[in-house]
Amino acid sequence: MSEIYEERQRERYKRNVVKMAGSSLSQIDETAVSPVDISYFIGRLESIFVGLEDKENNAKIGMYCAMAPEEFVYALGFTPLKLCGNHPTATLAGEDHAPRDSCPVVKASVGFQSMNIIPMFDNLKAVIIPGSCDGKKKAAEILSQYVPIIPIPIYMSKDDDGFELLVETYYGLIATLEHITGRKMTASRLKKACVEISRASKEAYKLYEYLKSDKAVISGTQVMSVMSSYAYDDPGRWATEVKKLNKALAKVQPNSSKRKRKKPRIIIAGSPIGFPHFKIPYLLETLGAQIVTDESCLAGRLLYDPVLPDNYSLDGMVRALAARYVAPCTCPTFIEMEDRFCRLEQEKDITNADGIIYHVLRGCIPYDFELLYIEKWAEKHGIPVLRVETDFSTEDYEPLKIRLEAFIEMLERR
Amino acid sequence: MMKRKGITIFRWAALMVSFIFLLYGANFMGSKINWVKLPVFSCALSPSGGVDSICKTIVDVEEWFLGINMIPSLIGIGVFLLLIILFGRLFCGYVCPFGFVQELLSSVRKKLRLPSFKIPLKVKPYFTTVKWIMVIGFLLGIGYCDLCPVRYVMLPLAGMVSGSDFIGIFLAALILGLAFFNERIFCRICPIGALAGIFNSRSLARIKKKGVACTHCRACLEVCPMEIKEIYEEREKTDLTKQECIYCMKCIEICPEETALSFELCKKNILVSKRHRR
Repeated sequence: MSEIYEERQRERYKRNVVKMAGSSLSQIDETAVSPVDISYFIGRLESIFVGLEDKENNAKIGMYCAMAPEEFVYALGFTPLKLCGNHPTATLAGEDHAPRDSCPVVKASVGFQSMNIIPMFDNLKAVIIPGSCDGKKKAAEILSQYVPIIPIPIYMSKDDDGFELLVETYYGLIATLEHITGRKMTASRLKKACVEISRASKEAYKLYEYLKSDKAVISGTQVMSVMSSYAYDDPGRWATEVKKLNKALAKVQPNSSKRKRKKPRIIIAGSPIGFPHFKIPYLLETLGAQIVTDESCLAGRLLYDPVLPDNYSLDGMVRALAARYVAPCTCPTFIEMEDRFCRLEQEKDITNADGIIYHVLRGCIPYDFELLYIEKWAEKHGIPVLRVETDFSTEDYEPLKIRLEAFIEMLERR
Repeated sequence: MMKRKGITIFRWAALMVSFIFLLYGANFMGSKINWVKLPVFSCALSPSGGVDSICKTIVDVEEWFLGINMIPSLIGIGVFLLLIILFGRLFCGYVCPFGFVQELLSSVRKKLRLPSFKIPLKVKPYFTTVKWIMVIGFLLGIGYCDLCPVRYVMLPLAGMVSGSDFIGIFLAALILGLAFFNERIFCRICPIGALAGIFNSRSLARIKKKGVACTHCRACLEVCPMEIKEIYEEREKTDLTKQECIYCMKCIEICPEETALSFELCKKNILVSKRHRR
């Protein structure tokens, strides 16, 4: 009896995952501002979440936070996947394992593993889970029922002591990965991986430069979906595709528009936004705003920081990777807030933004803690901030639309 | 990934030229330039060096004071003071031949991809203490030359016999060994550098930082041979020329943020950090 029930529940999950992902994908092109082609990236997401295919033949190791160093995985010959879930159906499934008030990313991450319907998420050799916040720490234990886990600590401060501890932790991670994969880490392998991923990082930087420019020929939603597809792709192949995209962006002309006034320029800050949770960027851009950059660790922050080793010994690169993944990270889980404010101020100045949307995932407490200070900061710098608390579901679609519309109108009148 | 160009090539060329000049210059020119005393360690006992360093003049005051060499020695000290007041520790990064030897050793280590030796956090404060003890010993001149590790390295390199004090040779070997694993470790305790460093706070060469543009990515601190923490941590102040800075410019060169770090000489912007896009 229960087997039949479980099978039917699985089918229902499958239907809903496909339906949601499909509708989110079809929305992406509605925000287009030029005829530029991003079908490779959309196609990747479609094949994973709608086609339910797994085209990646190479063995995979998953990661559940932007602070997990994918270079190690890549150097050992595995494909690194960023598995943080953003799917409402997975959130529902996750509620059987995680408390209702925990953050939707954690619920969805757990949910995807327990539903077991996305072939891409199967057959993982292991998953790396940085203990960046409480949710991730607890998720590690739940996930261990489904997949071998490698939890790594992230230290609360970014000072020298924390950094040296992290370097040691990364050495430990290398040893664990070597043990699990049976392959040996060498300086030349790691260097090759760093070079390959830095190619992706450079192309992502250029892509964001196009987005930040005055006459952007690509929409923020499109850029965010390109970045989201990185999570499930081979970094080298992805870099080549983005290079092609950047070349196309240099030539393409924007669609003709009947707008008289300039679109208000908006920065999306706060909790991560990843596929298919695109309702905020989609609503903003269909309501007539322009997203100029975002602070999401699944999009704008994912590949922003370069790896800059002092030398190419294993030691030099491990130190550089520890620096790259944690030192400039703007995640509010650390005790220093200054980095975020400086980053926002710098982005505001570079992009000439008119307003900030501060996105808080319901249950993502660290981001919510900072809102008060972000508002004070914004008042000082004369830039309006709108706090949007939501989760992955589409239930609050209409009220959200009204609020965003009002915010955009207010910006237009300023 | 990082690419080093421009200023680093210039710096290596400057170090190499000055190494040859300071070690063998007199062999080619026929005599030393007597009235210039450079604020770097280049062994003054070597007759083949083109220019003396300040060290022996300070250590052995009794040799020239009220003697026949008094005038050129006093001019030499004047030149030394002028140079450090104007440029601070700039000579450490571009002229010092012992600095060149240390950098050469650590670049061999980097090529061989051997791990570096990082000084433990607890030990770091003692380096400042040792540095000032060195300065006192140096200024009072108490047997400094006999133990000077630079002498036991530079004199043999110049083709001379350096003497056979066991402790001196041991110290020199120790410093060379450490310099192989930690770039410019002697520069942290160098007494001439310490004296010149006092003027870093007012000299014409400035390292500037724009705090807002900094993302705290730590790349600057990781490449800094003197491990100056402030270059990474400080955000409020714009002037970050610390006493220890030898103006190697590695921080500016590696910094991935546009205009976050810059170098000013005589209030003119010489070098600005930027993102390497290729």
